[in-house]
Amino acid sequence: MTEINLEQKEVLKAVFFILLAFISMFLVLVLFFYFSRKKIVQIEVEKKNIEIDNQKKILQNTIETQEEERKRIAQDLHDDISSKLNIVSLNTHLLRTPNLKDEELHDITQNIIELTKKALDNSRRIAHDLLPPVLEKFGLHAGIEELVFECNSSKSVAVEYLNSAKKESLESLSAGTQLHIFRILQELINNSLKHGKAKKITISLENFSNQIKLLYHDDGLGFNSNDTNVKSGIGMSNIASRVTIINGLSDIFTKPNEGFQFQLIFAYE
Amino acid sequence: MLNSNYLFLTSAFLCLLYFIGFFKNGKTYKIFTIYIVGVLLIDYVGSNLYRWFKIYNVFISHFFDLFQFVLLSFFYSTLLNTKNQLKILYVTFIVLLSFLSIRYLVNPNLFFEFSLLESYLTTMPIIIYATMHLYNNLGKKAPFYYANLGLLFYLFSSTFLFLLYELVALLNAKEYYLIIVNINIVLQYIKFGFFFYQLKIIYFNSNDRN
Ligand SMILES: Nc1ncnc2c1ncn2[C@@H]1O[C@H](COP(=O)(O)OP(=O)(O)O)[C@@H](O)[C@H]1O
Ligand SMILES: [Mg+2]
Repeated sequence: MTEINLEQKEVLKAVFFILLAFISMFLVLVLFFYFSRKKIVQIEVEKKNIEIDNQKKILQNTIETQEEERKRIAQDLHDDISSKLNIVSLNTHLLRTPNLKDEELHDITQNIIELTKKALDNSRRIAHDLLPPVLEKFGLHAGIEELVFECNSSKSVAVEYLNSAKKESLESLSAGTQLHIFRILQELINNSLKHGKAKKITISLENFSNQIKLLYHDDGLGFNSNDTNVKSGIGMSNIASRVTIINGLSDIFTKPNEGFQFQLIFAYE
Repeated sequence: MLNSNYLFLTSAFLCLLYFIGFFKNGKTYKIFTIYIVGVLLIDYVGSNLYRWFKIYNVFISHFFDLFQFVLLSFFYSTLLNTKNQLKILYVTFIVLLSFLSIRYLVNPNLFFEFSLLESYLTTMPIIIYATMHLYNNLGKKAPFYYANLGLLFYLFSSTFLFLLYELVALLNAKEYYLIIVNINIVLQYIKFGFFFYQLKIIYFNSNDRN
């Protein structure tokens, strides 16, 4: 009798433990799902915050570059145009002086003519710097050619430009996209000269399925591409913003002393 | 009945593969390797104990539970990373070991009986740590992710299996006996599958890094 009881007790014990194990594992599962859901929501929120931060940064950069541009334009206007026009204005006042000799009159008008011509030239140059007319009139290819020509005539660097992209593909790009790409190239060249001390730069455009691939390469100093400080430079993040705006995909390959390479792929109509 | 010799061979092969990278890898890997080698040895000795010495493997089952608890506690102590979780782990470790040692000191005869309580108490915390590790790494690549899954899966299912085995033994239901043993072998193969995959990941990633 006692033996049976003992056995029954053992069975009961085993059942009890099975139940206990069941309940505790169920609990673990429930808790896991409960906390996981919370955490997943939190991760989503963090992701969104990072996105917002990024957008803020881009906005900030845009404003900063805008301010810098304004400063530069203001300086150009002040140095190259206002100062000249000032002297022109002085000279015209001189014309009012009574009893001027013919010779003096001639000198003054000559001065005015020369200064206005200079002011005109300068204003054209400033306008040109702001938006190269070639780009607007003849498109990206011509714009890049002019840019390359200007760089090559400075003699400090040799720029090679190869364009194997179909003409229609380039022409189908909107004026905005063309300008973005042009600005990206300007910044890249600036960086290659300023930071990379590059001697040779290659730029190439080619078709890539139904997209266009821009390859940019310099033989300069390069930098450590893992360094986040570098990537957050205004120039580089401007490039990144422009790439986002034209819906492109870009990649940078660079290592210290192994040059700098930039690749951009974007779609055309 | 499935042949458990192949299981031992698989396990030994796995241990060998893990052992090859023993000195190159970090603490977690070392502890894990010691764990699987230990489990292999204990299992092997346990299953042959009767044939060799006519002893039932009751004693070895205690040893297995404690060994597993200690090693896997170490294992998860290197993986868990929040203060609270580690605190839980250390406190559980000390309290549980003290409790069990006191229990056996007070009544040494218990050491020669199966103990459901002991195997429940030693596996449940490990299941919780494994779940914590899973939770900590939601949405990212966890270190030892697949090893963790394998452990979680095996501990989860084998706990029930062990309890069922006890019940079946008590009820003398011999026809279920074999089924349970076979299921256990299958479960172990699945576990080893996870461990093999984990090893592949570790090697692949370390090549990636170089
Ligand atoms: N072609 C390059 N060669 C070497 N370093 C470069 C090159 N382009 C960019 N860099 C590095 O990246 C940094 C960030 O560039 P950028 O964002 O254009 O800022 P900025 O030109 O105003 O310094 C530079 O300071 C430079 O260290
Ligand atoms: Mg720059």
